[in-house]
Amino acid sequence: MRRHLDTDTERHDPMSTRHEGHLNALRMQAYLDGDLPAEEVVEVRAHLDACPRCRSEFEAWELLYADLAELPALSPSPAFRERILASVETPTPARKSVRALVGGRRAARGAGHVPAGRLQDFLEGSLAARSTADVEAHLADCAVCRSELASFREVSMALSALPRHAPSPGFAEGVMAGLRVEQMARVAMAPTSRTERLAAAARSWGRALIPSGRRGWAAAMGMALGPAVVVTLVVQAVFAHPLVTPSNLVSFLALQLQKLTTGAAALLARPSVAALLDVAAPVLDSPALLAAVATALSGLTVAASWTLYRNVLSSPLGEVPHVRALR
Amino acid sequence: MTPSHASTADGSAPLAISSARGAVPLSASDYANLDDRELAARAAGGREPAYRELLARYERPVFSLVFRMVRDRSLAEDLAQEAFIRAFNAIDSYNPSYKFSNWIFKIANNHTIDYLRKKKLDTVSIHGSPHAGSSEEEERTRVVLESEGERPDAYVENRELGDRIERAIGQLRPEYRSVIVLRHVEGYSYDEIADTLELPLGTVKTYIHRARNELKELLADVA
Repeated sequence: MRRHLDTDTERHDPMSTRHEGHLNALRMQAYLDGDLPAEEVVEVRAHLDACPRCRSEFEAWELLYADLAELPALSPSPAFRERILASVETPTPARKSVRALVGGRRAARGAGHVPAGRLQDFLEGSLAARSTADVEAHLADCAVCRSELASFREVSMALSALPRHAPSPGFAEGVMAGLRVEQMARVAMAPTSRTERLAAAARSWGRALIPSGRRGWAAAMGMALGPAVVVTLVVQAVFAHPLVTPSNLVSFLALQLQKLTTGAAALLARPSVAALLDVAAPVLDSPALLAAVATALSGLTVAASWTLYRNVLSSPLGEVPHVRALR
Repeated sequence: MTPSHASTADGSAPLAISSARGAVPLSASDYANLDDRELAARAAGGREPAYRELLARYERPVFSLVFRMVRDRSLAEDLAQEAFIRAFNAIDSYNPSYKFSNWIFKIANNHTIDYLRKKKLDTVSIHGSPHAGSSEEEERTRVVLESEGERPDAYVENRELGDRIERAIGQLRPEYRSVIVLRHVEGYSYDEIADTLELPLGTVKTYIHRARNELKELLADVA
């Protein structure tokens, strides 16, 4: 209690009415105690009418005073009685009964009694029919368990009377304001017109296709490396052939290419199965070329699919700020 | 605020999200008739009245839970507001096959437990954290012992939780407090509590039994 009164003494003169323009704690308590002269009472009242800060603190003091007035007489702990009686000489029977009164409620229940969890389930009605009957039968004969059950019932009743506390009136506004702050930040960053939105989406896709991080780059390089290695090996094998020399290969490829283009032109001019076969022939004639092209293409396909999957399809476009403007 | 007439500078419709859900404009009182899932869908579409209606329904239960966990009114308001803001910003991730109340309680509970854990880590010793790297840090992590009786405002707060049963709840572990509040104030079944707090069913039952046991002992002590 002393602590309440001494809150402000270290910091300012307890005799002055004003500190930094407000009432100090001693002043308020003197007012409530009826210790202030009449003209100061008027002064204090006037200040309280005008000053919300002091008024709220004053209300807190008023509540404290009201509660202090209501303080009940307290009972001592059970041990209190025990200690007194232990040093008083009384006939044995009386002493025993008081002991029982004092100690009985706290007696630990041993084996043969209903466990606490079971009693709680019984109280909630969640035990099966047979178990319920068993417990009831035991309770009929056992005062200790009955008293335990009563304690649990008291707890349950107190719990069921618990209210839902209300927050202060500005709570909802605080939430909406907090939401708006975040929305504003996102709206400020987000594109507004359709073209801007498309551009932002395109940029985001473009960014996503570029591998991100060391692992991404390593994987992309690896995937590009694969086909390159295969092609090199194929070329190596091709050149290993005694008849194959670079110039031979070039002229061979040139010839094949020529056949391919004329065949394609013919196919386009006059589509027919024969024309199709003409186009296919040069390609089929050079299995090495075919193999090399096929390998390179499949390697590139795998790389592209993987990059696509990792960077674009698996992380949704929600990376673009998800604007949800409040309306 | 009329929900339907916003438009962007070039006259095109507001962003595509809204047209997918809740495009039909409603008056404020209509919102009160929608169920939680409908409201959540409309809130995801950016409708402010939907947010407000959800707040009106759940601000009290959520605040109540957090208040009983942290035992400090202004702190509880801050935490509860942060929880709502988090939830509303992530409303797209709300799965309508679950009850909205479970979802919001889960977010609020997790947010509060995170705060309590963090606070516990920060104030681990009266001499400052043993991991402090500098004297400033040690000063910062030193426990400031503040007795409740020094400010009359603290007294006002504690009156609300001043009943025997409320004080007893205040002496339980925070996890026990959550289960007790959800069971006895919100009337949740054990399954719902398990789902909301992301605990196994057996753990929930154990917590409730132990919590009630402790409450019984605490109430017996006070009497």
